[in-house]
Amino acid sequence: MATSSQPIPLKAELAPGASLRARLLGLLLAMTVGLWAVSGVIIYIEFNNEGRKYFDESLAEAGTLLLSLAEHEIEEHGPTIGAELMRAETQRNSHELAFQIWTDDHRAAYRTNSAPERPFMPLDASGFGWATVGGEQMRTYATWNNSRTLQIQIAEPLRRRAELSTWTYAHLAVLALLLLPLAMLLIWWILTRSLSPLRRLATDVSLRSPNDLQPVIGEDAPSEVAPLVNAMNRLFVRVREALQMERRFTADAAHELRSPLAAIRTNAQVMSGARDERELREASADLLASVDRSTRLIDQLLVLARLDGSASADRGFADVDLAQLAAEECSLQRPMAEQRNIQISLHAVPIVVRGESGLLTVLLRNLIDNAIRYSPAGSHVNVSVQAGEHGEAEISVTDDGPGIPPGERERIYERFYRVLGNEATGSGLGLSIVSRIATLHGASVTAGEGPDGRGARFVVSFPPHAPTVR
Amino acid sequence: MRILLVEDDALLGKAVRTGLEQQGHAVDWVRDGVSGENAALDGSYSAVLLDLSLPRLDGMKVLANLRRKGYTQPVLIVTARDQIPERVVGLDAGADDFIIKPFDLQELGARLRAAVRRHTGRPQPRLCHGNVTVDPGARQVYVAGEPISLPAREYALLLHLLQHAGRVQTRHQLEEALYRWGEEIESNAVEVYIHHLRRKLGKDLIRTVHGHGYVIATDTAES
Repeated sequence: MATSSQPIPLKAELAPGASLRARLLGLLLAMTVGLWAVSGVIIYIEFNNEGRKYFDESLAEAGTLLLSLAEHEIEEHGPTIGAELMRAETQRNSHELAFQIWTDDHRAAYRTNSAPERPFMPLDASGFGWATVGGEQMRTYATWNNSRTLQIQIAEPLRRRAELSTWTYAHLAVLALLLLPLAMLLIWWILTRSLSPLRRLATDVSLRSPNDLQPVIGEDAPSEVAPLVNAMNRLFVRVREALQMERRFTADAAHELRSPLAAIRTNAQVMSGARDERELREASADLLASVDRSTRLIDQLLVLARLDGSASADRGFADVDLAQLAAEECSLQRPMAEQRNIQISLHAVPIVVRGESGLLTVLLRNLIDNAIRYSPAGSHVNVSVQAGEHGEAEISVTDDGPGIPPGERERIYERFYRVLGNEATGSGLGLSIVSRIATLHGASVTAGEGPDGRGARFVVSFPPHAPTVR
Repeated sequence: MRILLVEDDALLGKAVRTGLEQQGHAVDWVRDGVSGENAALDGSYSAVLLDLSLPRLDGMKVLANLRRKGYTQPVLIVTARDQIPERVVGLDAGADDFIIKPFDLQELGARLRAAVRRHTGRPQPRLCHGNVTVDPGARQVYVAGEPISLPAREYALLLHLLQHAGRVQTRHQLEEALYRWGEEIESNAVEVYIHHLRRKLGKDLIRTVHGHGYVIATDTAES
């Protein structure tokens, strides 16, 4: 009877943004691009350092070479060395290089067209330096020959170095851009492969019929998904059990409703075919009793349905005095008990528990009603409300009836379960209702025998922390 | 007919017993499966009406036990369990019919008669012997085509003898067919009913087999 009166809106599809693959793809791509950017910056810085050294070395090398060429020229042809140097300069394909050859008496022996007349650096200097010629920054290098008769001052514009670096960077960047789609493809492929067990699971579950509650077999599922698969399988088992219970209960309820209906119909037919006054009277009394039984059964079913609906306790709970409830209920039940010559006695001390008084009244009514139904005429039903050994509040209802065989004490709370061997016509739901209400209040129900081993005794024990003794 | 009713519901059981008695049957009523099985094996019933949800022993098990022990009388399941699989299981387990609660008393009687008829291998509903015809469905007796009315016990006695035509029925068997348990049996009741029947239907119909009982002979039983 787990049908809820309010329809639950079912959201069949999650937002597509929740795709694990898309998120992983995005994250991994962003990470890849980010790493490339960082390595780009590192390469840039490293390249600038290493590149300057490299450029400086080649500048120094060119200077030394040109100086030895100039020395050789001067030895052979005297101080006019222009032609040969120009050729060497052209061979090195270093048009951008400007240099000056100075003699030890501070005379310019030669200079390229691009070189100014003034020396780049002070004439007695040697090594690397900086100069600005015509507004252009230049790296310079000066060195003497071994006999210190000739000095070369050679300069390279920084613009040239920058052009070379930029070209290299552009090259790298284009390469990276070309690799990016490849990386994307690779990541996508890896993700698809890794997530395929998940997709198979999803297909497996989505292709199921609602009645198929067999466990999902996720053998190839990665270990991270195993807890989900296990949880799902446990849920399937629970749902299957709940469904079976529901089916059994529906079948039982149909059966229990059909029996009094059959009694009504048959008694009506017996009345119409009655052979004498007595038969007519008896059948009509039985017919009325059958109608009463159907009514009571339907009432009890409705109580249970409402109880099943209210799964969570502590809703609208208030302080309830069990003694007062018991007193009210006993006085309500006395007329019915007296009809069967059964006496109800009540021993109650005021004890307050947290609970819903309406539900606790139903609990008491079912226990007392049960006791009256199953007791022989002329017997006693004793109702008591008292504090237990550990301060728990206890309701107990004891009767002089046939009692409950120990083997059946576990089963009496099952719906529609009845103890055989008496004329009582209970709905078979009373103790289910008692047990359900007790559970909602965190209380326990135990069935035993009366003080002298006869009859039945039901004790409802509320947890000790809940009650407060006035 | 004498019928065993196995039904745990007090109000329904009593009504079915009274209703079937109104139709001229003797009904023994037990209220749990174990008593039902024992009563069926001990007594001589024309048919058993068996509820399924029974205390102590489920009706389906009672049926299985009865059939296993070679009980051949018709067993009709009367239950509120109306699922097709249950009906199939019940019929396959040896039930002769499957009746769903709530049912019509008249229909229940008709199904009982049909089951007994099938069991005795007598497909035609009317029982004839000479100029006497009994229509169990209408609970009507005809002599030479003219309807006559018979009191319930006389009718039941005639029906029993016709259904067992050719087989001598002892006084004890006849009493069993007429009375349920605990019912007080008047001494010489059977003799008195036989006397009345002979007066109404003719002397030759029912023969006395001295020292044994009574019989309606088969040589002219089927007309």
